[in-house]
Amino acid sequence: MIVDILLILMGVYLLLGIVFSIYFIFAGASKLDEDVKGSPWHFWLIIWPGSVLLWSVLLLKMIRK
Amino acid sequence: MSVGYTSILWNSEKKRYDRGILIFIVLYMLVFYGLHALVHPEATFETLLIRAFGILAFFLLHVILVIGPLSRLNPAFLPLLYNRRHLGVSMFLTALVHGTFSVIQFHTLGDMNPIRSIFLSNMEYFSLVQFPFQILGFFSLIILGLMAVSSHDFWLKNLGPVVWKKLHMLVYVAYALIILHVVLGAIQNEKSLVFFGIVLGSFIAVCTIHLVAGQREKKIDEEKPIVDNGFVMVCKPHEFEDNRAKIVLWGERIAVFKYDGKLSAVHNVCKHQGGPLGEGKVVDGCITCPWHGYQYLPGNGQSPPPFNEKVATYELKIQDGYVWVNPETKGEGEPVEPLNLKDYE
Ligand code: HEM
Ligand code: FES
Repeated sequence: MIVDILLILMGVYLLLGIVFSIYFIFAGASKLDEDVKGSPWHFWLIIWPGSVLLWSVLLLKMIRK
Repeated sequence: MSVGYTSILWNSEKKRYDRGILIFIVLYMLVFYGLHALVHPEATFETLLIRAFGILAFFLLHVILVIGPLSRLNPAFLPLLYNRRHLGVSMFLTALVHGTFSVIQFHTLGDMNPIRSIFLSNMEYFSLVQFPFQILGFFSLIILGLMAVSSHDFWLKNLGPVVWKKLHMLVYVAYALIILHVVLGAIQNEKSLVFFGIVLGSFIAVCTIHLVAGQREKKIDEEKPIVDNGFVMVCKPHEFEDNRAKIVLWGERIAVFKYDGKLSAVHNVCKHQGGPLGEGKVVDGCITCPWHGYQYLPGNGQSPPPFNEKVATYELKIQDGYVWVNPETKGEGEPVEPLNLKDYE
């Protein structure tokens, strides 16, 4: 039971992360950090997994900015 | 350095480093498979793959953990520190191969979700020797993954140094989980005493090296420098090595560099991830951080254009045959006339 709750929470977190990461890659990142403008596609590929896993911290940073 | 981003910051030295990692991994795999083919010809390819990558990740994690303190004790280890980030990502990828193949081999044959199976296929949570050790590996892999995906400079800047540092200090939690994962797993797989000896020895080595380096730092911090008229004594001019620094501590650490017959002093802490500039070298006229190669001009503490990092600078003087530094900074990126040693010969 506890395991199921934990796995569901992890799944929901990841799912939200995937949704957030699409917004972040296409619009959010440049609002947070102007230096990303003009970065090559492989830069986005490298930061994409982080935006999925660390979406909650990024969202907080963006709200506070 | 903060002008646009590239995916991977490579220079010739880092490429050499990465080639070294790759060659090491290939050689290790050849030796591992060769030896096992002789000693355990009955083991399947998948089992060997799981073991080979598990042990490799375990070894690389130890290297990563000890090169920081080892470089403090002996600068000969500094080149290993220079690209620790890529070593960290390589370690995570090898751990990921190990974890993924373990899940495929042990958790995909039934009708249960494989991740659920890691938690539920062994329910001996209250037994020490039968504990479901794979869960510990699973959580450590998550931590290592978080560290690997946040290793790019973009994350350091946008998570902020405090959050980033806290996240990366979790490596010690991951390490503790992995030690338990390996020891409990080995008990269940009835490994030889030599295996336990190696794991215990590695753990003791990591702890001892950290303790010794910590003691050394503490001792340096406790040495009371000589102060006169607000200036702190550094050393005699001839005691400097070319393109290297002496570090003095007065509230903050200050690095005094000798280059081209001149001396300049800057704050010891790199603007990138707080690397110890005084343990770096002057390369192409720039103070070069030993950790990832950020550069600063000695005369004004500014990164050369187009970069814009700045470290604090300090005034120097020679008096009574000694070099002295004024610990009151001139400010970050403020030009200070270098001390020309030829004027004092
Ligand atoms: C999802 C995560 C993980 C799973 C499911 C997992 C699973 C396993 C299993 C089943 C074994 C026993 C293999 C055998 O002896 O036949 C094992 C051993 C081992 N694991 Fe993991 N592991 C995980 C993560 C990790 C991580 C992150 C590391 C290190 C960084 C690691 C290091 C090791 C080592 C060194 C061994 C001993 C290898 C040997 O038996 O020769 N594991 N793991
Ligand atoms: S270059 Fe990374 S800490 Fe200095």
